[in-house]
Amino acid sequence: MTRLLVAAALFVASAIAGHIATIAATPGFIMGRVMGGVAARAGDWNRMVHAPPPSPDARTIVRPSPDLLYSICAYDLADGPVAIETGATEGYFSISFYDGATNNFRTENDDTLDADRASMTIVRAGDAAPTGTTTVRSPSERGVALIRRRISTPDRIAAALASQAGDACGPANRG
Amino acid sequence: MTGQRLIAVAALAAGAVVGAGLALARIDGRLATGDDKNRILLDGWMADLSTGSAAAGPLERARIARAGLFALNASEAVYFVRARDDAGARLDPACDYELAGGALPAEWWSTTLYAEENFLALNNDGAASIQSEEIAPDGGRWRAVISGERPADATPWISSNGAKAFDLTLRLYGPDLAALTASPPPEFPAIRRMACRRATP
Repeated sequence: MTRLLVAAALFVASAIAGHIATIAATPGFIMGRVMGGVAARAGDWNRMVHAPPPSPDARTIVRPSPDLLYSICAYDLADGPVAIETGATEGYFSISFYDGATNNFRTENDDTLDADRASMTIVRAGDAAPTGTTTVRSPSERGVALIRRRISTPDRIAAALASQAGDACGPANRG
Repeated sequence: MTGQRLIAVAALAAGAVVGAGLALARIDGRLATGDDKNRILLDGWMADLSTGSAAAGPLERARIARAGLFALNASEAVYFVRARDDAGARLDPACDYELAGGALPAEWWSTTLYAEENFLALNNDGAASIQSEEIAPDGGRWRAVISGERPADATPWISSNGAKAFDLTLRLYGPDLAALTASPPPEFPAIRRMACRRATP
């Protein structure tokens, strides 16, 4: 009887621990895989992927919006700050930053920037802010910067693709 | 290993598997949970206002990682999902639906059909979504059709062609959060089932 009670207690304790651990680990696990996939597609970390308009064949990121054109950079701040630039865009665009646990810790758009482009530098939370640029403090060393542009008509797609060509990601100039 | 130790190891292993399995079922929405304090439900459309933010609980964060990675936080966009028609039946690719509504509390919006695995339906119809600028540029009443076949007239179309199952995501960009939680709540799009090409359960 005692053995059964002990076994039942171990079962319940292990089930609770497994439950909590699975939920806690899922975002970081998925984010890690996606960040690695983006870096591989770009050729390295801190490089921009200029994604084509979302199509039914896109199977990397769930629920892509066909109304948006995306550029994406998986950044790694281990060797210092990373600079993000967007091409000049007419109409809606946004640039969003996600930490290694999927949190969207900052987003700017054409309204909040009051500009048709963005020039930003990502630094680690405790690092000094560089001058002459908008600073983004990342809670984690690795994360993702995602640029969105609105597309709908063929004219708008062509304009968005031209703007997208100006999107860049790379080590910040430390001079 | 003694029999007692074997039982203990088996109990631990079985517990871990069951615990992890229950967690995955909750993450995928196959198991009801009480974690809904940030959720709003408007005319059958459900959203979680904590999506994308650090305020999201562990379960919501895991759900988003699985089914909506890189979602924006609510100040930039709110994502509503709906998988049932106005009568409460699951949306069925064998049926045609009328999707109709009016102005929504946002700068602009879009509605997109997602098939199984949370990806776009595998077709070349170029009709995965509608957006406000196209079908309601003046912010007035609008109407669209969800069907596996292109409408004979010029009615805006969302194609369910190639989907084995589907749901809809309504994205509000530049949302008016106060309006979304106001009383009375804003009207959200209705989904009325029209014809079905085969009997549905």
